[in-house]
Amino acid sequence: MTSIMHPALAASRIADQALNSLTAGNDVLLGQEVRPMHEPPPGTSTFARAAVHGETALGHISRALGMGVNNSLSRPVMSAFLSAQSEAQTGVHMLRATTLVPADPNQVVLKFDGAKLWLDMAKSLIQLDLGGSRPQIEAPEAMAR
Amino acid sequence: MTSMMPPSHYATQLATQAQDRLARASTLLRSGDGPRPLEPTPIRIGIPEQNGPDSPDNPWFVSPKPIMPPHVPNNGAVRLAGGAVTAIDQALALGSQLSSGATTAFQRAKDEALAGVRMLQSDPRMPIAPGQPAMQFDAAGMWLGLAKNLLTLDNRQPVPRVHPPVVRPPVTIQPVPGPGEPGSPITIKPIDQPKLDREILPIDPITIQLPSPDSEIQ
Repeated sequence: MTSIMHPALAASRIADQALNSLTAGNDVLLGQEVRPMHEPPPGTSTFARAAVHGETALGHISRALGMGVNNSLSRPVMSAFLSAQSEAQTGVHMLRATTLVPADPNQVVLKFDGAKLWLDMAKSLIQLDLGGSRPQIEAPEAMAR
Repeated sequence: MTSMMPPSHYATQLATQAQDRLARASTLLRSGDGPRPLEPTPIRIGIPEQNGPDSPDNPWFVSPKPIMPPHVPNNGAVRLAGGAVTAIDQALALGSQLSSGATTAFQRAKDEALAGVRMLQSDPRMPIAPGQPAMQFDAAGMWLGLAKNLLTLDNRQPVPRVHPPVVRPPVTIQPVPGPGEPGSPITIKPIDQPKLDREILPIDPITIQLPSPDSEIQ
């Protein structure tokens, strides 16, 4: 028998996975990486390894956003996920930049930490939405129309 | 003397004030006490001139039973939430001095708080459970918490990076060898001036007479 998880709950679980990936990326950048025996491949640079973790987090966030296509997630939750995506994307871009000046790892860590804050917010809002049937809020400008 | 507070610190204080007011509003609503904000009024459906007999068959039927508004306690919750919105507006007025993330979080908090206020002031015909505006205020408080965390992140100094220790080769100081020993310093002798085969006679001075300014140039 297959049990179907509530989309919001699934999005919350996915947010946890994204949080783990971002933490792993920060660990690489801060030199606190715990390397498994089978990965990463030898010769992979620190930036490349951190970028892979960031891109993995982006994949998770995209999946979470996909949960909201049928209005399964409230607008504030979607907003939090989108902001997390923006922050993580900026961090990955900094790591993948092909400019001569290398990115500052500390700035990337700040970006990933910002994304983690937004993901935590998304999870908290999901809990709030699941706790009570919170109605959808329209933006003030939309209500004025 | 006026002390200047950094914008982010000011915004954090405003967020804390707003959070406190929203939490009190939420608590008041959840407690269930307080006066009823809106008096029940009979709702007349239809246009009086077109009303016919009060029967269900009449499309302009006026319900004899007034529709009672739901009991939504409003013992200062609107005032508290309004104060929170004012504090949020003051933070938003800092504009570009705050990061875009913090501004977004403040804006979301304002949206949630205003939605709660609208629920309390809404049409009495719309049934709203008291827990719903309280939940809006809770959500607004969460957004403000996020705004504070983002402001802290903006002010955070970069974490010093942990570099692996650099292993340098040991340096050995060798004794200076004595004169004549291998590795002794080389003495550079001055180069002898080459001797010329013949003596260079001094050149007689040449006198050049410049033309006078009055002379014609041919």
